[in-house]
Amino acid sequence: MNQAVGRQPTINGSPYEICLVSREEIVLAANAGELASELSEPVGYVLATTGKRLRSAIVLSSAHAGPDPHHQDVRTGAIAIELGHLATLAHDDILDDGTVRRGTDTVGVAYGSLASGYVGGALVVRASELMATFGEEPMRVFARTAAEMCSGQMAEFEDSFDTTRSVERYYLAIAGKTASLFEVAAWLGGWLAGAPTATVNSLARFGREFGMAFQIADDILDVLAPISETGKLQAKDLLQGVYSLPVIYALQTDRELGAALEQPLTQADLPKLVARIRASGGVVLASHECFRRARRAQSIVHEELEPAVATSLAALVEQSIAPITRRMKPKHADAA
Amino acid sequence: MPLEETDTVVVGAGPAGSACAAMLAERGHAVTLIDQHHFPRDKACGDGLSPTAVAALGRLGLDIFLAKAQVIEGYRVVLDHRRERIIRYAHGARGRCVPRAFLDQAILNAALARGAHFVRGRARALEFGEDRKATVLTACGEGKQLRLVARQVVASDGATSAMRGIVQADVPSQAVRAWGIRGYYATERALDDFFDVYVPLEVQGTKLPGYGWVFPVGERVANIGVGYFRRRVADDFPNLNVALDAFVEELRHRERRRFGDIQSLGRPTGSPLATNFHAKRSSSQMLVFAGDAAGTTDPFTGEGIAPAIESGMLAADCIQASHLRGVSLATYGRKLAVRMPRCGQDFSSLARLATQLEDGAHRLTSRLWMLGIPNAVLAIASDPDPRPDPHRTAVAALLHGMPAPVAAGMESVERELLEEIATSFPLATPVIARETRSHGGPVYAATLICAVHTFGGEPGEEAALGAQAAEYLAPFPVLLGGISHCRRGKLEKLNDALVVLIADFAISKSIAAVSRIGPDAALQLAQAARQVCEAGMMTAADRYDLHRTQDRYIDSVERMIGSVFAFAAGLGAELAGASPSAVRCARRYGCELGVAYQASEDLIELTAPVEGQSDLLVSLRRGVYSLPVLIAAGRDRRLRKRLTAGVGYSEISEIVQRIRLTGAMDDVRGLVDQRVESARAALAAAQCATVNELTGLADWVGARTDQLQRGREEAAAGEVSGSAANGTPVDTFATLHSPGEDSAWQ
Repeated sequence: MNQAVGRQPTINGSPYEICLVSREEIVLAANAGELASELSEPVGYVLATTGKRLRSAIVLSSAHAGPDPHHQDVRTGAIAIELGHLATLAHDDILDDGTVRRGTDTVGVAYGSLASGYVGGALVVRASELMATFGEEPMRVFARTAAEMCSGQMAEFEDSFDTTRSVERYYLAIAGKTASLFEVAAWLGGWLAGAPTATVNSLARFGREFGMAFQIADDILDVLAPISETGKLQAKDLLQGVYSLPVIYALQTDRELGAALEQPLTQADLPKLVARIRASGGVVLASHECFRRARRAQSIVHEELEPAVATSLAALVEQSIAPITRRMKPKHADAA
Repeated sequence: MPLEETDTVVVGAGPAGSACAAMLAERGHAVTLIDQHHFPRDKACGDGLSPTAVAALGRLGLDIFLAKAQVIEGYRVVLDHRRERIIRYAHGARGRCVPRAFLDQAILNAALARGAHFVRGRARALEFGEDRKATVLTACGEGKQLRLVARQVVASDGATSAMRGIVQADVPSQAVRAWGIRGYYATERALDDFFDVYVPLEVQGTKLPGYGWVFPVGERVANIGVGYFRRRVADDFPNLNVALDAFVEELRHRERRRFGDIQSLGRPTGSPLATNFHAKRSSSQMLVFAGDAAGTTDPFTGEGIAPAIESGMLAADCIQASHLRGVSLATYGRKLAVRMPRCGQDFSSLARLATQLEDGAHRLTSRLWMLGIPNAVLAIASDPDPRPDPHRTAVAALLHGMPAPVAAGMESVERELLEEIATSFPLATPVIARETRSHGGPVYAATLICAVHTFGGEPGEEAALGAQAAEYLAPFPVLLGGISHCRRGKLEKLNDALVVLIADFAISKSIAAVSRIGPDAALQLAQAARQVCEAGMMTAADRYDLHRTQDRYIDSVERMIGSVFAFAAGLGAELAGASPSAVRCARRYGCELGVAYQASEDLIELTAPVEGQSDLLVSLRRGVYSLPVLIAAGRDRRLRKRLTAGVGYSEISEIVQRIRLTGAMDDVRGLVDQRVESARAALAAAQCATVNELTGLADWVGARTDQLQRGREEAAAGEVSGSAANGTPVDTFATLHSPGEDSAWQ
């Protein structure tokens, strides 16, 4: 949490010296200081819990596909995307009843659920404001993305506790709630740096595949990883009735699992259910899908972009799915 | 084979088909109605007619028939046999309950009386000829066949429509999502005039997503049934008869005081609920589907008769239009979808969620928005048409005195907004449409349209988008205000999740609309939206603070309401091409008017009739004090104590009385006048014409409280005579077995 100011983390494996946006930069761009104190405090609290800043790293990396990767707008754009993401986190805490995020209390616990609501609103509005300063196209793209993220969340909500949820419905939900922001992040970096249309379009397609792979990896981790690693209860999604890809696959092979999930569940039931999901092969199938999407994202950049940019973006993908790779491929490490 | 030529063939003589035939025959069309049954015939159904259905039947001249039928005052939802909530139909409207055997015969008679021709037989095939004629091949029994040739065909042959099978054989039939079963029963005790809805529905230890009902068809005869969604597509339904028997047994056991003994009057019958409406598949060049054949049953409430009649009548209108003006029948499906936005939506997710709330049913009485089937039934069933909401009516009246283009501009904004909500987020349609419209949304939109006119412009597409963006901001703080503050059980969590999803939807729609105008407009909206968020947090921080100052109150109102008015007025002026200084004046006008508007809202809340004061009660309980309350509390120490101690439903009238006695309302009225005056002054500085639309809007805001004054004087005059009638609150929570307990409001 308390990294020394001045030592900015960079992206491993990238040929570029890319300084991630700092918390100070984010706070400054969010205009948090200008807000009424009742709102600026919880906003500041949320901004302080900024995590890996992956989405802004995508913006900064993809900017190298254009002639002007160090344009000031690129950094502002990276922050705008990060703010959009933080807005969704604040609202996710209400949706999935989160109390702990990245080791600290969520804003909902610290300031009340109402604060989560308004902080999310204020951040998404600020993000849209920054996008509007870039001109017509980024603004419209962002407006479309915001709507897509909403409908993705809605789709997930509609499917909750549905043990017959299909793989297609799952993809529909994550394409909206996660991949759409990755897509706009990759697109925006190229666009702001003045990359040609074809390049910008390739970046957008890359972003979407990356986002899908990322969310699948995240969902696998929810099932697999203990609380010490993710900072949240293992397989908590099951309690919320959110059945993600490994669970959907498991439901397809283990015919009795559906009935088990439909019983009122408590935390004590989770380890047994996790074991069943693993035994059914759901996790393995989901990992294959995750790797497939990741490879596709990487091949888009390798085939369509300059080698240096491609390496940089591919490295981001690799790092994001590393926890899954580590777990699922120990015996064939050389195959990758 | 005998051949008969006619204008329209209607297949199926249920409510949809007969209503359609009656409307067409009345307009002089030659209509042939086919049905395989001898009438009267029985049909599995709840037999309930909502006020909407009653009104539609009135158009067919069935008032006299209905006058003899069982009257229904509203809904009574019974929770776990322990608590109940009564929702009376608003504005004195009444429902009815008539067994389908009689109802269908009566509607058929109305069609025959208007000249429709009836043929008993079964439609076997349908062909479309080159000559723009359709032929329906009908088997009439005993090997006799008939060819009916017509210009249009209406397929209203029920949930298991044979016509759909003939025409759309290639479309995979959707799995039925919901079923209902009912029987007629004699009760020992006389029944009340309510549609009784029992939740949760539990069969053999499993909660089913749905409800049980007891609808009175006579003094001691009830239609008792159960209806429920399938939990999972792959599931077998729990046996319908088992579910009904279990429900009736439960009633005998737990509702003995209400019904006494319950005796079956015959074998129950069940049927699928036709909720699979699909606009595109509802009509083609010469064919329309109506009623259950079109899947128009309301997936929220299970109500089928009113939508069936409405779809039949709409089919008649479309056929008429196609005769007169050559309008294609293909537009029917879309028109129906706009008119009945819930049709065809899959609400089983809400029902599924509701069954997850094992503690939910007991606590339903907390005032949360939409919580699965039970509350959805409450909110929607009692409100089949959006309530004639004060803002809509008021804005309509306001626009009445304005040039026609202003009103037309508003109309188009409203239409598009509702269509947009209905098509993109059906789950939220009921909530968002209601919250947007009843919390200033139309006034925001009107401000923008009026500003365009005032500054000499013509509202075009951009103005409509701006008005939409402003209107979508209205529900945002209202919805977030519904987030639970303290205790977070499953029910509260579900409520909060829905609230956030819907609020996000509203704000993303707002951003999307404004971004189509341009970056500059988007920046202005962002500025307003940010202030709304600030004000929301300020209000929350000041909760339960009876020493909140007037300045602090006005500061937050300026941000929450004034900023949106300022956005609307400023953008309107800009779109009309006004100078930067005039735009600044327009923004100042908006800010002043916003404060006046909110202050007048506060006053209206305090003078609302009893059923409107539940909103006031919720605000007081949540510690959100409006200006008149704060001023009054500053003057009356005992009032302050009462408010701090917590307010019960029964005390609300007395508290309002105390507030009035302090004279606080006069102070607030003074504030309204002062702010309206400042708004006018801001306009004058912009050098607009002396008579203009924005001034009209300001006058209207100023006059809202004048009307109120008059209303109060009239009410005071009528109080002596009317007090008995006003004794019962319209919307009451009552505790069945522990009367006097007030916890229902907690």
